[in-house]
Amino acid sequence: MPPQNELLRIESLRNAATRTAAFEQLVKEFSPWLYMQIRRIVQFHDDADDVLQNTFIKAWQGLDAFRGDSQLSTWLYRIAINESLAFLARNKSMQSLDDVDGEPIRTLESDPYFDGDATELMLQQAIATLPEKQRIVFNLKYFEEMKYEDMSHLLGTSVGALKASYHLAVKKIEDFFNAHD
Amino acid sequence: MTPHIDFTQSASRHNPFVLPEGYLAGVTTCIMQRISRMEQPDGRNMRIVRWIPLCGAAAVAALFVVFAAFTRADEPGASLATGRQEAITTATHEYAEADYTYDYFMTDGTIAVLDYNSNE
Repeated sequence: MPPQNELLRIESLRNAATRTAAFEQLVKEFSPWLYMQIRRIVQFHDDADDVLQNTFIKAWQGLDAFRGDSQLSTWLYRIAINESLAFLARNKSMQSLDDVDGEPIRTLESDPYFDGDATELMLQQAIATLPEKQRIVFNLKYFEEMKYEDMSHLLGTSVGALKASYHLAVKKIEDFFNAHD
Repeated sequence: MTPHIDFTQSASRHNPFVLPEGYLAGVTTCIMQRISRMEQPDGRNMRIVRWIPLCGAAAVAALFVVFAAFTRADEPGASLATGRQEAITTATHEYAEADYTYDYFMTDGTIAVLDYNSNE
């Protein structure tokens, strides 16, 4: 059962008269957190900006379909994850076209909005090599320190599968670091 | 030397991803503007959409007229009607010539039959 203020917010979002104002408040409140979740997946600011905007547009379009079974934050996070994965899939096909054209591929070092040292850069490069699901699980566990139970609810995956994903991700990242020794 | 990362460490980690200054305020405005544009009906498109049924009706009517004209031309009675029209046209033309002749001879159009056998 969602808390009282959550119910009031859902009610405001369903009411045509208050919907726009309530949604603007929702955007303001969840943008920082969602931006960082998206940024950890897509890595570049420009891409995270596109995905974040598309996430909220999709949320607006799907407001009538939101039944209130889950919390708004969970619902928004799922949309953000789906949008991020869709973006990565599109980007992968575009990148292969860029390779053919001989255009330079962006790197995290050249991103003005990346402020990491050599270790953090290498960690991000290692994370970028992970399969999508492992990348999401690793980010949530390592950076967000999210409990497996909460992650299970968020991603709709069993705790056991999440633990396995995280350990596989850690192993691959360690291998990446060893290979670049 | 490979940098060591302790994956079991639970302390908060430094976030290397920087949020551009003023980005969040800007993105909220941007998202709400996009939503506002989405919610407004496109006036130009609405005008075009309004004309579509009228254009369709006009096109159907035009096709019907053309079809009907071709269908009547193929009907058996059509040639009879056409022949009758030609006859009327020819007759009208002949009457016009007769009128011209009567005018030329300054007659009233009646033919005077002279009866030479009459005593008058």
